[in-house]
Amino acid sequence: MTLRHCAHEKEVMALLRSGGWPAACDPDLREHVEGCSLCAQTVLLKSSFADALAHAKDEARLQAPGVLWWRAQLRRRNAAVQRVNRPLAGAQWFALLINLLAAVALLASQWRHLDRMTAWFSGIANGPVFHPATLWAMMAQLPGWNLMILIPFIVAFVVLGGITVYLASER
Amino acid sequence: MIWDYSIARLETGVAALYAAQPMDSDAFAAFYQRSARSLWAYLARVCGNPALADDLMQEAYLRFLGASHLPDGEVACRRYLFRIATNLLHDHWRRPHTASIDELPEMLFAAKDGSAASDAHVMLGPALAQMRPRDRQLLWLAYAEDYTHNEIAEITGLKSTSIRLLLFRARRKVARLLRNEHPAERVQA
Repeated sequence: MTLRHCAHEKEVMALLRSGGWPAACDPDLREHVEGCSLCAQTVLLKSSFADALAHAKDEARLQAPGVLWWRAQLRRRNAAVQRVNRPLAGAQWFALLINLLAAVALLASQWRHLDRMTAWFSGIANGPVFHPATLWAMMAQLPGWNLMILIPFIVAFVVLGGITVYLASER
Repeated sequence: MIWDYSIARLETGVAALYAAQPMDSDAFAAFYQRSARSLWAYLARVCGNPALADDLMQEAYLRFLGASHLPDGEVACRRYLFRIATNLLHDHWRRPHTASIDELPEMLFAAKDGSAASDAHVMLGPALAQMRPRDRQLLWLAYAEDYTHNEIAEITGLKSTSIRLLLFRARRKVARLLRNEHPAERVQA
């Protein structure tokens, strides 16, 4: 495709932009525009678009700039708070990971006592009533398995894990 | 403590945020008054939907104010604003519920274009409605906003050399449409 070009096009455009067309136009240039399809096209388009722009500007329904300003401030503030909170969220996830690792380590260390633990739980489940005295007696019968350590550990794990998950989900 | 550190950092961050405002409230109000009508006209005529133009204009100003650094001078700020608006238009067209910018049927706009119906007396409306959205963008920026090829390239993200060719084709097409609709309204000397 050949891009045609007219040497007078810029001159015509400048007149149209300044509002000098056609009143302030040189007669020779007007005569040229009548015979030049490119310049005639420029005049047609520029005057049409200027007219459309004027109409569209009248149609515009503008918001108060103050509302936009405060909404932008709010958005900037939220973005800044989110940016600053990012390390805290990282710390929460780190705490969760440590908890999980501790749980895995505990399970691994107590794995060899799993049979006894299963028997102990089934003993409680099958027993007529759960008595602390019975539990205490059973604990005393289990060598190498100290419930005084295990139960607080499990309780602490559950509480800390719950708090960590809560804090992570709150974000 | 990590909490003390975090709270101090939060306060510092928020304080820095307010200190680093690229434009104050009064300056923005003045800039808004000078630029909003032109921006709305651009969005409404290119997307063919005044309600969508309202939303996009609001979002454009919010993103403009959210920028950490604005270009120097009103002309550059205005160009930057038009660039944001153009990107928003592209994002809108790229969303799954709509087709891509190049696949949109042209007559769809002609049928649903409320703005075109509202200014039916203006001869450009029906002709623009038959143009592709990208052609409308280029034509509007060139002939309504008087941007140069380089400025249009900066706003639209297209190459300056491509603008020349695309604009040449678009202007030929819209001129033909205008003449077909209004054969008697050829350029009057």
